[in-house]
Amino acid sequence: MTGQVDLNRLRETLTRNQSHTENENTSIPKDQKVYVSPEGKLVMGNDANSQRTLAEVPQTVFA
Amino acid sequence: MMQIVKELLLKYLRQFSHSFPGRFMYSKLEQDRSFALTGMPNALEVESAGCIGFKYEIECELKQKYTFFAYFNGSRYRVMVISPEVERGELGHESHVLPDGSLCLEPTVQGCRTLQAAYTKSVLWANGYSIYAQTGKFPFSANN
Repeated sequence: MTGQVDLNRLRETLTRNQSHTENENTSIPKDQKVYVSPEGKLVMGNDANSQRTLAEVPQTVFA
Repeated sequence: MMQIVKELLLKYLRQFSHSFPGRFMYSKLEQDRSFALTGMPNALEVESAGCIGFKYEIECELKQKYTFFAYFNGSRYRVMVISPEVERGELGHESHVLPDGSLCLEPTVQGCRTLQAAYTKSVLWANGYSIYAQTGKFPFSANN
């Protein structure tokens, strides 16, 4: 179980990483990406436990 | 011997299906089932109007529950909001929900390449929408 995500930090991270293509942005370090757990919870990269299976959120924006 | 041949053939078909999306749908469905089983919360496979998709429920950081249905429409993965009732926009620029109740996941094509991408963006959308419902501003949008 993960702790609650800081939504302001999440927004800053997404804004910083935002891309207009669907291609994976490999230039972003893993600890600066945003992930989702199998339980449907957002996980910040630096809070991610490498032993857990997490799905990466595409770094595209809502527009 | 037959088992090895079968495994090699399956491996080849999986690799080949990535090069020709739309073909080898069975393989694609198997991949989706595998991800739904391991990567999504209690996803239930549902067949609706001739397409197979996955129904799932999540709870956002603001403790609001959302139920979604993610499906492949032949070219892209789309996600419909089943509950709660959400605001739908003509262009989807405010709430990022289109008039038919599906999420505006991508700026131009309104769908994702993979089930994983559609699922993760639906979770992100749910968190954004809960904030939008309280503040009138969607926080993870290029429009802001």
